[in-house]
Amino acid sequence: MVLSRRAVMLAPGLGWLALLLVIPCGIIFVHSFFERGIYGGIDYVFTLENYRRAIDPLYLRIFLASVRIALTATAIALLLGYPAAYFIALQAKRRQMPLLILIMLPFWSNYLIRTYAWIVLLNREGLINRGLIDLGVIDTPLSLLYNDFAVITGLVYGYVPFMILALYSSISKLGPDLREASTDLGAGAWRTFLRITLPLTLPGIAAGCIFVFVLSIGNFVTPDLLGGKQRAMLGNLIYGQFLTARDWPFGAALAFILIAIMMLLLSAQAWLVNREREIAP
Amino acid sequence: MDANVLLEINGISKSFGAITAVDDLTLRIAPGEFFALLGPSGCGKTTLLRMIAGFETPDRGQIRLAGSDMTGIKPNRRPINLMFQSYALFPHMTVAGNIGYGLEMEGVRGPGLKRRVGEALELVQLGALADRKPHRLSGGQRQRVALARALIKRPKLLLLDEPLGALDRKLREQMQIELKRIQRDTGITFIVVTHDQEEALTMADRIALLGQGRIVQLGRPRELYEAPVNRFAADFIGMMNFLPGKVTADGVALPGLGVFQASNRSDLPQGVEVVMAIRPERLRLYAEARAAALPGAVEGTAYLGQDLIVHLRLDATGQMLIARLTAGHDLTRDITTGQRLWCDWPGAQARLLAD
Repeated sequence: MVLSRRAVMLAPGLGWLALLLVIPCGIIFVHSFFERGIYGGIDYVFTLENYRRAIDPLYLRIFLASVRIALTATAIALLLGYPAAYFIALQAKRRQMPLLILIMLPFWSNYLIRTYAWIVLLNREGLINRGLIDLGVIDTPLSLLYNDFAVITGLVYGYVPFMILALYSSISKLGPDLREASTDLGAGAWRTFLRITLPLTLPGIAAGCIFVFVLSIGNFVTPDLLGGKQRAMLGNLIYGQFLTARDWPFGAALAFILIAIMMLLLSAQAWLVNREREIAP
Repeated sequence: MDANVLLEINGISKSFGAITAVDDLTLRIAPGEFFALLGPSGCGKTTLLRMIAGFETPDRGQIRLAGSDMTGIKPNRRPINLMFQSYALFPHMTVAGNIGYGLEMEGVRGPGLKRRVGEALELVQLGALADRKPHRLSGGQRQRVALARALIKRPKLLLLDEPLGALDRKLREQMQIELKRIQRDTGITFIVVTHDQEEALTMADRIALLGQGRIVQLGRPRELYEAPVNRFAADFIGMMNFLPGKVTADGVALPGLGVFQASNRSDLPQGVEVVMAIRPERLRLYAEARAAALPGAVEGTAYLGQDLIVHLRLDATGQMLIARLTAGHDLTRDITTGQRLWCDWPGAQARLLAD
C-alpha cells in the first residue's frame, strides 16, 4: 500500500526524466557507435572510430584546455565565494535571506544577455579600458576580450552564485558553537578556521567546486562569445560537430564522454553529501 | 588581591536592544567552590556565563579573575574553559583528538600530549573510546568527552552551561554525583548554569538565584530552600503553598482561616500584608477532625512512588493546598478523590514573605 502510493507520487517526475533525459542520452550513446553518413546523416554501421578519434591529440588538446579553464574558473569562484558565503552565514538569520536573494538576482535575467554585457565591459572601447585610460593608469587599451581571461571571467561571473549557495548551506549548518569551542580551547581565529571551519565545510567546498566545474566544462556560450573562435572548449567542439561539421556520431561520442565525466563528478558529490549527513549529529 | 576570591564580578550589565539581560550584577566566587547560577530561561544566567568566558562584552562593569582584569581579554587568552550546552564536540575528530585540542593549541605535542589525554580519559572513565568519532557515542559519553576536553587545560575556572540538560533522568542523577567527584578531585572552581533547581541543590556549594538579570537570592542550598527571601525564590525552588494574610499582634491573620504562627513573624511590623509560605511536605493531614485543623476535600492525588501528592481544597476559602506525604504515611493507602481530610502545619515551618 505504502509502496504503491510512493510509486504513484514518483511516477510523473520519473516519467518526465525518462522521456526527456534518459532516453535522449541513450540515443546519443547509441549514435556514438555509428558511422557518419556521407551527407551528414548516420550510417547504421557499428564502429569504435568516434571514440578513437576523441583521443586524437588535436581533440585531446581542446579537452585539456577546457579542463584547465574550467579548473581555473572553479578555483577563482571558490576563492571569491568562500568569504561571501561565510559572511552571509554569520549574519543574523533574518538578514541571510535577503543577501541570498541578492546572490541569485542575476538568474532573473538571461545568461546570454549577461554574457553580452561582458563584451560591453571588456572590449577595447569598453567601460573598463575607458575608465583606466581616463584615470591615467594605462595609455593603450588592454586586450581583455577574446582570450582565456575573458572566458574565465565570464564563467566565474556566471557560476559563482552556485558556489556561494553550496558553501553557504555547508557553513550555516556549522553554527557558532564549534567555532566558540575552538576559541575557548585557545585557538585564534585563523587556527579555528584551519582546524574546524575548513575541514567541516569540505563537503560544501567539494559540492560547489563540482557544480562550477561541471557547468564550466560543458559551457559553450561563454567561450563562443568571449573567447573568440580559436579558443574553443569542449562544448564548442560538440556544438560544432552537430551544427557545422554535421558529424553527429563523433559529436555524440564527445558528448557522451562529457556526460560520463559529469556523472562521475556528480555521483562523487552525492556521495560526499550523504556522508556528511551521516556524520552530522 | 583577596586570596579567598577567585572571580570578582563588579556591577556588570548587558543589554540586547531593549532587553536587559544582566542588570548591575555583583558577585564573588571563592577558589575551589562549586557554584550554581540558577534561574528560569531568560533570567540572564547564560549571558552572565558568556561574559565570564569572554564571548560577550559587558556594557558596564568589570570581571576580574584571580586579581586581573578580564576586560578586553579574548576568550582564547582567558584561563577559563566552557563546557557548552550542546557539547560542541568536533565531529571530524576522534574522542582523543577532541580532548587533546586545547593542549595542542598550547603547543603540547607527542608523548606529553598522549599522556595527558590518557589522564583526562581516565578521569571521565572513557579510556576505551579514545579512537571513536563523536557521532558514534551515546549522549552520556558525549557529555563526558565535553567535560574532559574542558578540563584538560586545568583552567582556573570551569563554566558549565546546562551540563546535564540533554541527559535522561537516571543518567542525570548519576552525573550530578560524578561532576561533584570530579570537581573535588581536580580542585577546579566550577560555575554551573542551570534552570533545574534540583540539580543546583544537589551539586552546588552555593547558589545564586537569578531573576530578570539580577541576583534574587544568594546562599547555600539549604538557605534557599528553607528561607526564601521572596515569593519568586519560594516558588522557583521546590513546591510551595502560598496563603495571603496580614501580620497582627498575636500572629498572622489569614482571612477566613484564622490566626497562625510563623517562624519569622517577629521580623515584620504589624499590619503589613504578607504571604505565608508552607512547603507541601510540612503539611500534616488527618482523616478525622481535630482542634485548629482546617477541613477540606481531596481534589486529586498524584502517586510518585516514594511520595504521594494530595491536592486539598479548603472548605472555608476554596483555596487549594498541596501536601506531600511520604509512602510510609498511614493515609497514603486509602485517600480517594472527594474524601474529607483535615490539615495543619507547625508554626515554625511556615514562613512569611513580604512580596
